[in-house]
Amino acid sequence: MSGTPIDNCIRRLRFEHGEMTQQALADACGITRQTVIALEAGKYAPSLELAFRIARAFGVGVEDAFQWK
Amino acid sequence: MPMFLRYAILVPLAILAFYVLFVLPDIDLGWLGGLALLAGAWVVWYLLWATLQKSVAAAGADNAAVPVSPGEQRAWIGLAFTAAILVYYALRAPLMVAADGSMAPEASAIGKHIGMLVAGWLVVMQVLRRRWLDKVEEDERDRGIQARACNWARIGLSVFVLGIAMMFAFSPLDRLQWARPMTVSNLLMMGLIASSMLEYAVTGVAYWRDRRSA
Repeated sequence: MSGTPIDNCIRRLRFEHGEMTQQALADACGITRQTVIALEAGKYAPSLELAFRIARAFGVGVEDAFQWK
Repeated sequence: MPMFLRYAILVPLAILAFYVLFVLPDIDLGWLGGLALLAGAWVVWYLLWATLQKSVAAAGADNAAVPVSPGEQRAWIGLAFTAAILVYYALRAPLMVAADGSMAPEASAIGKHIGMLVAGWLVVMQVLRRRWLDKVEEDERDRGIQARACNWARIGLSVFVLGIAMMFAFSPLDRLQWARPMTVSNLLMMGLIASSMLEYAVTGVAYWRDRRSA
């Protein structure tokens, strides 16, 4: 899977939320830990639905979690 | 014992057990010998399985390591079983054809062996599913990988069927003497199994590449 044009700050948000683990975020969003890893590495662009779920898990807006490069 | 040493011993033994049980012509070892052979093979396969599970569990426990997802495990196990079925089928297929081109009596025994492999595959997947009960088994990324692998398998199968169709359409009749009903049936079955194997291989490689670059 090649890089995507969507950047994200999931890693930073995790650490700002009590050093939330990748597994905890995955469980909160109903995805696998491998998908969190792929997202953080910029290898995977989430669907709109998943982007909203992730942003919601951190209590922020979608644009605070994801940015167009 | 170090993990690499376990694999170095168990992988060749597992392949040898498969070869002796499924590929070598049947040798009469008596019921006790047969039972010992079968038990030995299952012990080796079980030890290999347990070692694999230990590696996966160790990777999962290490928060810094990238763990092997259920989707990837499913793909590699599927690849191993479809490859085993395909190799067995390819080696034994000539025995399934009788002199007149119809089904030979040996075909039912070969079919039973393939059935055993499929049953083993189902058991392994059932055991894994129980372990994944509290985990998310697949998400949108897994479905994306599966869709791409499925496309590859469909293209592979289409190329195979087109190749056979072209061969039958354009080959002179005297060069198609080999194409008896059971032979063609075996060829089509092998194409189907190979397309399934391709799907698992593409899925496994896609996960592995993602994991390696993460």
